[in-house]
Parts: sequence; C-alpha cells; structure tokens
Amino acid sequence: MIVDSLAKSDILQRKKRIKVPTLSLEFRPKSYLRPKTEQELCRQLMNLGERGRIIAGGTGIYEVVHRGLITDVETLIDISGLNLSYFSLGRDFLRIGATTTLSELARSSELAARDEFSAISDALNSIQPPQVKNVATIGGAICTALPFLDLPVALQCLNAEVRLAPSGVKKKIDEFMIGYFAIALEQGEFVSEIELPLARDGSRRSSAFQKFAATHDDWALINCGVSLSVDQKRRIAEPVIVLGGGVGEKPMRVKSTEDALSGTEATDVERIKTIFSNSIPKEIKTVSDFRASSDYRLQLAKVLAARATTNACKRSMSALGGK
Amino acid sequence: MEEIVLKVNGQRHGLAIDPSESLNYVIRERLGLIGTKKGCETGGCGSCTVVVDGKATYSCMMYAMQAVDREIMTVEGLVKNNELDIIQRSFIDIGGLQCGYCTPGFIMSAKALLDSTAEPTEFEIREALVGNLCRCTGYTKIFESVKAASRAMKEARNQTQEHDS
Repeated sequence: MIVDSLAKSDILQRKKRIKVPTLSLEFRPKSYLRPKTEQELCRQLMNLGERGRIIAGGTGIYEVVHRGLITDVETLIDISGLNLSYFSLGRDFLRIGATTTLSELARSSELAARDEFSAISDALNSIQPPQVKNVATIGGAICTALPFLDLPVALQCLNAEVRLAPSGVKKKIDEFMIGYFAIALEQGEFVSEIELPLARDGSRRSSAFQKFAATHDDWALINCGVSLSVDQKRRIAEPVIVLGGGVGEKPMRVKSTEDALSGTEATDVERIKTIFSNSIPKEIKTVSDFRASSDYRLQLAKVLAARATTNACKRSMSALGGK
Repeated sequence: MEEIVLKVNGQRHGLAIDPSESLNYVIRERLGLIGTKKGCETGGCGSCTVVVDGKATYSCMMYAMQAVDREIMTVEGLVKNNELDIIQRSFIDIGGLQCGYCTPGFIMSAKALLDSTAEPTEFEIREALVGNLCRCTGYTKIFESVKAASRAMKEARNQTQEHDS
C-alpha cells in the first residue's frame, strides 16, 4: 500500500544513499533572537547595529540575500512575538501594526469599510500567492525598500506615514524609503506601525491601484496608485499619483501631472488619457532591462495611471449615489 | 547551532539546527519528510507548500527558526491510521496529478483552503491554488479533485451529524 511504502524509516534508509544537497541559503546568520518586548528589541538593535537585522515574514530577506546585501548581518531578530499585528481606528487615522500580514489586511473590515483605501485592496488583489500573503507583512513591504513592490505605492498615494519606535517619529513613505534596499532608520530604531490619514467627512475621497507584471509571481513592470476626490461639479480635486516598478530607486510621485489633472472633468476619460500621455514622459524616466524596455514601461505608466485615475473617479462618483 | 523544538504533524521534534536553515531543509533533510518538495526556492512554484498554523506557507521562504512554537503540517500528516486523507483520495480518484512533483504542494494548499472554507466556490479554489504551478495537468483535473474533496468532506460531515442525532 502507498502509505506503507512511505514509512519514515524507509525514507531515512533511502536517504542515506542520496547525497544531501548543500544548504539553500548562502547567507549564514549565526544567531536568531526573539525579543518579547519593544525595550528588549531596541536594546538588541542598539547593541548589534549593522550586524543585526529585523525579520518579520521573511520573504523579503530572500531578495536581500540573493543580492549579497546582507553580508554583515550575523543575527536575525524576529519581531513576530511583539504583538504588532493590529488595526486601530482613531478619529483622524487608521493605524496598522507593522507585522500585520497581507492576508490580515485583505480580510480587514477596517480597510474594506472605507472607500478612500481602495488602492490597498486593489494592490492586495494583485499580489497572488496566498503562501506569500499569509506571511509577508505591511512593515516588511516598506522596509524591504524595493520600488517594484505594490503596497508601498498604494500606501504612498494615500499619504501614509511610517511610525518609528522608540522615538515615535513619523516619516512619509517617500522620506523613509531612500533607494534600493535603503531606509531611513537610525541605529536602535524600528518601524512599529503604519498610519493612514482618514479622509474628511464628505470629501468623497477614493483611490485605485493598477499594475502590470510579466507573470503572476513576478514584480510589477509598472504599478500605479492614485487617490483623489471628485467635487460637486464632478471635477477631479487633490489627486495624488504615485508610480512604481521600473521608474527608479523608489516609487515616484508625479506632482506636475497631478497639477495638470486637477479640475479635469471626472467622466472625460479621453481628456484624462491625453493629460497622462503628455505629462508623464516629462516627469519620469523609466528603466530598461531584460523584463521590458524603457519605452514599453513608459507606455504602461501612461495607460495604468489613466486606468487607476478613471477607476478612482468612478468609485468616488458612486459614493455620490450614482449621480 | 540553535536548539529548537519543532511541532510537525502533531509530533514534537527536538533539533539542533543552524539558524540559516530553511523550514523546507529541516523538514526534508533533518526529519526525512520528503513528501514536501524543493522547487524554485523563490516563492514561484509552490511545490514546497506546507500548512503552518492553518495557513498555506512556502516552506522554502521561511526559516525553520520562524516556525518554532507553530503547528506545522506536511503532506505526511494527512494520513490517519494508514488511511489516506479525503483530499489525497480525490486527487487519485479524479487523476489530479501526472508526474506528481507538484502534488504535495497542491494538496497542502487545498487542505488549508478546505479547513477554513467548507464549500469553496470555483473562484475561491483557483485563488487558493494560484501559488502552485503544475506543468503536466493543465489544472482542470486539479480543480476537479479539490471540488470532489470538498463534496466528499461535506458528505462525511453530514454522515457524522446523522450519527450524532
């Protein structure tokens, strides 16, 4: 019977004849810590400096390891024991704990209830494998500091801020992500939560996210987050447009394009497309690599930004009551 | 080396491991549970999928140290009293496999789904299996296998209820 032939002793006997492959990771942390309190974590970070690195879900570490950017690290510090997975809805902010997983975000009623956060739901829907979403965290997505990731782009268009502990200092995503794998953290500091500003009552703030990747598990060639309001006259107001993917070392906000878009008729799709076609090439420089050429990425940026904008407009207007 | 206790398939294993070892490595090479496969090691293929605390997880992208104090289930853990699990049975009956390399991963993704969602829709099944690749079957038979497993589990539940009442 199948099960009998799979008996463990048999496997072990067979294994003795098979050459055991070498370890899958070249990176060899010497120790692994599990702080139970924030004070303990800060002390460890202070003592270890560059030799210590925080690990949450662990999926981002793989990228860092593969690029040989973690060679000084001797100790991994697992912060999953710190109870930093939470949602806390205040008067002006929704606060999300740094180790909240992508699956928890996707199930969150706090996010689903508010139209202005739709960009996050869009981004989560575009990230496919549940096996990644079950472990990857919101804080990790930001601290990995790769411009191709989806959550930082969605969060940046919502003017999210990163709260650092123990100082309590808040930094905009744009200030916090410096470049490839680089974040603005001082020795002894860590990200404790992400703070999303709530829209003013009656502002009909909405948002949307779009991305294009070559395959379902690859990074975005281009991704785009847009948040905006549609005013009483059905004109676009206070748009925030962020492009990520192959646009440089970190997600880019395109302010001139936002200015050009302000006041545009929310239902005038052709006009919106023209604005992006004219303005985006002046503001961003897309990269060329084996995944896609710079021209192709630029075309994607125009199209995806227009789509995200139209989607956000539709959502905002449906909040008007279908008028 | 770190001394840890890993709970795999309900059994506690005391191990001395290097902190750099992935959960996949420990399951396969230290515990000899080679049902869980090693594939791309970058979160693309899903052949390494195990269930950690009820959730489908890539064992190749998780350090074994991260799995301490968690309940890990591998495909071997589905077998009870030498009987295959309903999901395994369905894959065999329907023919949801050809070469079989991806199968343990698919089965564990399906296990996590069916334990949390009693009667998943076609869409939910596809969503749950999107992180697993199969290069033989074309997926149709795999989806059918999971659907059949879902039906069989429902029947089994109904039967237990009838017994109870």
